[in-house]
Amino acid sequence: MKLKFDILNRMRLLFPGKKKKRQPEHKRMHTDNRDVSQREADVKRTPLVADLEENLQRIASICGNSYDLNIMRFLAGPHEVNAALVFLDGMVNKDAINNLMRIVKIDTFKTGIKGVHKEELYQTLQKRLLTDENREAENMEDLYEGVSLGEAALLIDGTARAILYESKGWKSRALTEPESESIIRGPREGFTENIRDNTSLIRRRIRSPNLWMESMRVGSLTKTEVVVAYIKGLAGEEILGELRSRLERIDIDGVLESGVIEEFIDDAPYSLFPMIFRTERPDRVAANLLEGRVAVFTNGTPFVLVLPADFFMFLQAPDDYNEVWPIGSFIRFLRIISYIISIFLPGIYVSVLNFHPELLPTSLLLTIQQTREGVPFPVVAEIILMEAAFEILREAGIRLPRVIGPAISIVGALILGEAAIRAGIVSPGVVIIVAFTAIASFSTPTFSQAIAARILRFGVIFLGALIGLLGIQFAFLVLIIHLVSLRSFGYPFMAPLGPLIWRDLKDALFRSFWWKQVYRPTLLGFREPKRQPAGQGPHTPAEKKQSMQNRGKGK
Amino acid sequence: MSAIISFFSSAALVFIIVRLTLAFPGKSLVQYSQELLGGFMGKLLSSFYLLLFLFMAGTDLRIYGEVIKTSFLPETPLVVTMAIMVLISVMVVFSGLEPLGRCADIIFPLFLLTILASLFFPLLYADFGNLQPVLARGWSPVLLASVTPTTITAQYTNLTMLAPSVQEPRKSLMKAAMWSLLGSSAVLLFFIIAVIAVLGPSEGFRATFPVFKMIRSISISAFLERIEALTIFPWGMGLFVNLSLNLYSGSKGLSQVFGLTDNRSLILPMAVIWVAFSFQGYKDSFEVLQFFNPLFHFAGFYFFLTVPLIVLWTAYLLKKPRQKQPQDKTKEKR
Repeated sequence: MKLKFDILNRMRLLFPGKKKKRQPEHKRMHTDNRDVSQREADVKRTPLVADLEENLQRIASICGNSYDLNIMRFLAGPHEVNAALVFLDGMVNKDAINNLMRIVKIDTFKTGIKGVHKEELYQTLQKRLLTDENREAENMEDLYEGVSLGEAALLIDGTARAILYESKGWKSRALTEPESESIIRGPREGFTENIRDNTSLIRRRIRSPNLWMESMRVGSLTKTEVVVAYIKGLAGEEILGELRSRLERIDIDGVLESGVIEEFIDDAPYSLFPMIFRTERPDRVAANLLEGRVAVFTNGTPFVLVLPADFFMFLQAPDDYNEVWPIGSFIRFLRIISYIISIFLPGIYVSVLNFHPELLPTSLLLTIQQTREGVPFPVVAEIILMEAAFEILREAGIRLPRVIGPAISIVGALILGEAAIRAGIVSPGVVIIVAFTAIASFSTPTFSQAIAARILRFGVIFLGALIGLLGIQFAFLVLIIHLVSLRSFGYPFMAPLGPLIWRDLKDALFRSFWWKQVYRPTLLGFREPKRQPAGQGPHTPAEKKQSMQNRGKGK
Repeated sequence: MSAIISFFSSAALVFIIVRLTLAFPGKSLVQYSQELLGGFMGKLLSSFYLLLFLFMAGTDLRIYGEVIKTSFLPETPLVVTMAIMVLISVMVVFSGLEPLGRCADIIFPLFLLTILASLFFPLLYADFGNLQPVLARGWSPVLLASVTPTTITAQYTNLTMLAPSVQEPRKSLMKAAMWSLLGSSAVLLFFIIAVIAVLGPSEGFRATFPVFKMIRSISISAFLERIEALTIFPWGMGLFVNLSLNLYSGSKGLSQVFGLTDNRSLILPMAVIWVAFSFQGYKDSFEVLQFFNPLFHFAGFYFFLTVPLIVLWTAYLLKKPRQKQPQDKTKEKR
């Protein structure tokens, strides 16, 4: 009853002139015109009191009698003390709740405590229940935080505290293979939306106590759990300090995806290129942690941020490492080449046809010119038309439900392309170029990096159409200047090519033997540069004998 | 032959330049010339160098523009080509020395690859009989011809502006300078050999751009007949590095002469002056080629390069005894 007066009093303070009549509870809730941030602040201010009834009323008024808020009242102990269990339906495991009830209702009798008072009952339960999983809440904020995480709050009359009983039991997705990063060889597990599952996936891979995880809350309403994971003593403290300060600076109402965080802590927000790597694959996160990078987990999304990132990270795939090195090197090199193609090829085609036809072998030039006969548009218009059509097609293909997906590819690729050529609107050469570019850009493993290339492509086409190959060169140099001046958390984006680091090139442009990668990336793992002892490659038996002898001598 | 001679003469020059720079760690040429010669004289002398930067860059730019014009874009105005190159340089100098160095890091392998390729393919057509009469006309034309490459060493004066930003100048600077000199001399030598071997001495002498002509004469099978574009664009990128280096040195030096804290405000005006200079400085491509005439060098360019250096060097030697004691102390500390 006190609570009602409390709120009424507060309203009187807000509107000193009017004296409002007491209204029934459901009506009062609608007339309560505090806005969200004030309500949140009020929750922080509200303490727990000794009176159970009032506590329950406060909870009910904070949550607005939400339909999934479950308040179980019962009598506990031989003296039949009033008690209540508060939890959110659907967030808790019913077995855990039953277990708790068993402890509270039966075990209190079993242990032979008879004639206990209210406070003593609470203390007994406290001793019984307070393990490392269960916590105590002393105010409304802690209490609701626990309840919203799926814990059950046990309130007992006469005590101004509550026990938060760990009973999380919401439905989460199974660990399936990540769809955005498919591989041929490697672990099939992917992250899920549950942050605990995600961090445990990393814990399972790196069993060192030096894998540290710092937790923080971001978002004033969503209060999203964000975990910074790194290997202590390997990750640069400067990077960590910078990351922490940037994360703490975020003040937003909600974080629903790691993309929000990414944009807040991005180094170059105006750049097309992503400055922070994201992945769904625990094995990639683990590998990057081992190199001295830092991972940022966000609750509610399978995408984990990895930073600092460099250009070549986005062109790497786990297969590079899992296959033997010649294959790994080949496919990686292929990807880099095709990335360059996906930016420059259409522009080069336009500029060569428009300005430098003499560069083509005569027979090829004649063939192209023949097929272009009767096409009403200049080459630029043709290419831009087709590129735009392709981009729309690609976007439509992603958004469509999977059932009608194939239909788009048939209509778009086959019918549209074929008909456009037949009708003489575009020339086959342009279609070949556009299709090849599209395939090349699909070989980029990271979507955001590929998109950057697609947008740049239009600029290159434009410049190529304007001043020929000189424009292409211009675009190339501008691109290099831009890439080279980027930094991700102080780490140069084009490393190890931008600042040329010979030692690191073996894992950037191509991949050398695992046993030859003795050192970590120079600028990342500088705290402990050596990854493994050298000379672990295969030996002939004679060599092995000799090295054994040498080892013996050393001892 | 003249390439080899020029290597030694330019090595001497570079040696002087680098030693001078090392004697004043953390200071650029503009700063220490003021220290050596006093304020006004120092500024006057260093403005010689700034003119040198302007001159070198302007000439390079013009040559590039002419090559592009004659071979690729005959209808595009020269100004456009040059303005584009300078624009990129302005961009990179605006973002600072570090991106510039990294650009060079990325471009260099491309550049090297093209040089090697354009040296390798002509070998298929080379007739080494063309090289036969060595020293047929005595030493004097050889010596005279070695002057031009030597003055191109003037590029190394850029080092004096870069040195303050180098982390451990004592270790790296001399080594880097000498290696690059050796490399460029070798490239020059091989190109001369290749040009004479492929085109023959008389034709090689007459051509406007001999190397370019040589590459143009190559065709790899019937399909790849005109690969000169593949060489000219990496060259353009090398030129871009060269230009932006000059622009950096020039703007940095000018800002130091006038005592400005930031060189960025000077970049754009300087770039505009450059384009104007390289556009107005020469009437046509033949006048540009006069640049490579040794006599022309003796008259003006050589003076610009060597005389101030000699002045500085003597001033340095004269002042040395007085400065010796504190310098020794710092050495002992290390």
